[in-house]
Amino acid sequence: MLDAAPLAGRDVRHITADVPAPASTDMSGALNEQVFWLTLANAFLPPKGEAAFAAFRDGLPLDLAELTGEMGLAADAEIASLRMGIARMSEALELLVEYSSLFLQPPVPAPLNLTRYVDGSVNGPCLDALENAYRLAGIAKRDDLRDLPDHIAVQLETLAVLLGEEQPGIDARAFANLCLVGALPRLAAAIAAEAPASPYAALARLAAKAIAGLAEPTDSASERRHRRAQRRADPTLGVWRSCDSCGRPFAREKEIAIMAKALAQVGLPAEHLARCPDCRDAAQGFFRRQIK
Amino acid sequence: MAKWGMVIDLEKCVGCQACTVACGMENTRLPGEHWQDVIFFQEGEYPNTELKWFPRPCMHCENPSCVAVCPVRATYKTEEGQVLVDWERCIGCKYCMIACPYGVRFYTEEKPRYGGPDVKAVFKSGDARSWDPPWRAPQEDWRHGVGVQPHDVVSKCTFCYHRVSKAPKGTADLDPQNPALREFTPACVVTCPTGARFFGDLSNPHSEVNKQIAYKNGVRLLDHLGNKPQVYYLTGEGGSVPAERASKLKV
Ligand code: SF4
Ligand code: SF4
Ligand code: SF4
Repeated sequence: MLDAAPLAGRDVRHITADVPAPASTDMSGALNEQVFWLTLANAFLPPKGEAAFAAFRDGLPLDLAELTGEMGLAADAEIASLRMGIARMSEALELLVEYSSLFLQPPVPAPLNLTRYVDGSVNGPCLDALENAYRLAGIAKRDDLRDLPDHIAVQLETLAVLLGEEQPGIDARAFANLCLVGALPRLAAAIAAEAPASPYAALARLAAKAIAGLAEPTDSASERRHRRAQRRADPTLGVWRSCDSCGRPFAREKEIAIMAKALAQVGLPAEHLARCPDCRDAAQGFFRRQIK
Repeated sequence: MAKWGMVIDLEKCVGCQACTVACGMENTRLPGEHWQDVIFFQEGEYPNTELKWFPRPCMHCENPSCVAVCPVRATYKTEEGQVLVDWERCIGCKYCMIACPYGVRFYTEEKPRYGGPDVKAVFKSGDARSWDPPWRAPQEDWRHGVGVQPHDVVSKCTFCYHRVSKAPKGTADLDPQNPALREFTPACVVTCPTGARFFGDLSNPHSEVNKQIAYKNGVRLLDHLGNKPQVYYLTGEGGSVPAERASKLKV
C-alpha cells in the first residue's frame, strides 16, 4: 500500500492530497472498494521520493491485485501491465519524469483535471457541478492542495469517502456520474495515445474499468436534454404557427406571442414572425450558393 | 470602451466567398453552417437581369431582436458591442433564431443544408461537444459562443470575439495590413482578397470605419426595422446592393 493508516481514523472532512489508506487486509466488501479508490487516488499523486517509488513498484501491484480480487473485478491484464511498466524503471526520478511529462508539462497530453474531458475546457459546468457536490457532501479542499477540485485524486478520494458514508449528502454513484464515469475512459485513452507502456496507462485503464460499475444505466443528462429538445419540437404538443410561405409549423402560437411582446417592449417589429426563418430569404428574392 | 463595427464595401466585394470559408475555418463551423454567407439576388426583369450579392454576417445590432426574446439571457450584448451566445446558458429554444430578422443564426441539431453527409454523425463526439471535427481551431470559450458548440444550442458570428477582445485598448481600426493588429482582426476581414471589409471602433470619430461610413454614405440592412446594425454597407454607384434595397427591404 502506498501509505498506510486507518480510514476510520479520518476525523476531519477535508479532502487532502495525500490520503492515508488502511493497512489491514481483513476488510469488508465496501471497505475494500473504499481502499481501492483511495489507493488509486494516491497513485495519481506526484510520486515524490524514494519511498513513493518503492511503494509504487513493490506494494501497489500487490495491493491492487488483492483488492480487485476481493471486489470481484477482473483486472489481471491491467495489473500485469502495471508491473511491466514499472519494471522498466530503475529509479524514482524516472517515474517522476514520466508523471511530469504526462500530467504536468505543457502542453499536457493527459490532464488529471478531469472536467477537461467532459467540458472540453477548464472551469466549465462540470466543475460547477462538482463544487456543488462537494458542498452537498460537506467536503472541503485542504488549503495546501494547490489544484482544482476536479483533480483525479480529489475526486477519487471523495468517492471513497462517500462510499463509506451511511447517509451521504450526495450518493456515491451520483457523484461518480458527474465526472468520473465520463472522464476516466478518456483519461485512459489520452495516456494510451501518449505512452501506452506507462504504468499510468495501466492504472488509468483499471480506474476506467472499475468506474464503469458505477455508471448510471439510463437517463443521463444528455438523454434528458435530448428528450427535452424532442418535446420542444413535437408538433403534436400545443398550437403551432405555420409558416406563411412553406406552411410548415415552426413555433407555438404561445411562443410567438411571447416573442412579439418582448420585441414590442424594445420597439421592434414582429411582422416577420409570420414566416419561418428558412423562408425569409426567398421571400426577399435572396438565395445562397453552395460552396463546393 | 470601443464599439466595434464592420463596414463592407460592395463596390469592392466580388462575391468570392473567401470570407465565408475563412470564417468557417476560424470558427470550426459545420459544412453549410455559414455564420457569414454571401447572399445573391437578381435585379431587373428578364431578359435584362443582373446577378448581385452582398455578404451577410450577424449585424451585432445595437437593438438586437435576439437579445430581446431570449428567455434565459443566454444571448447578450457585450460592453464592446458584440452580440454573443453563452452556450452554457442556452436551452436551444430557438426564439432568437425566429426573432432575428437577418437570418444569421444556426441551431446545432438542424439537418445539414449543404447536401453532403451529416458530419456530426461521421465525426461523432465523445464529449460535451456536438461533434469532433478532424481539425479544430484551438480557441474554446463557451460563455462567448466560441469553439465547437455543445448539442442543442444556437450559434452565430461572434465578430471574432476571441481575436477582437484581445486587441490593444484604444485601437481605432483593426487593419489587417498592420502586422501588429492582424491577429486581432476578424478572420473574414483578414482574408477578404479585395479589401472590401473594414473593422473598427464606431465610437471613435477618427476611425477608418466612421470615415468610410460618412464619406461613402454607409447604409444598414433593413434599417427601417430599428435594429440599428453595427454592420454598414457601402453601395456607391455600381454597388452590388443599391442603397434603397439595403434599407427598404421587406421581411
Ligand atoms: S443580426 Fe440577428 S442575431 Fe445578429 S444581433 Fe441582430 S438580431 Fe441578433
Ligand atoms: S436558443 Fe438559446 S440563445 Fe436563443 S433564445 Fe433560446 S436560450 Fe436564448
Ligand atoms: S467576424 Fe468572425 S465570426 Fe463574424 S463573419 Fe467574420 S470571421 Fe465569421
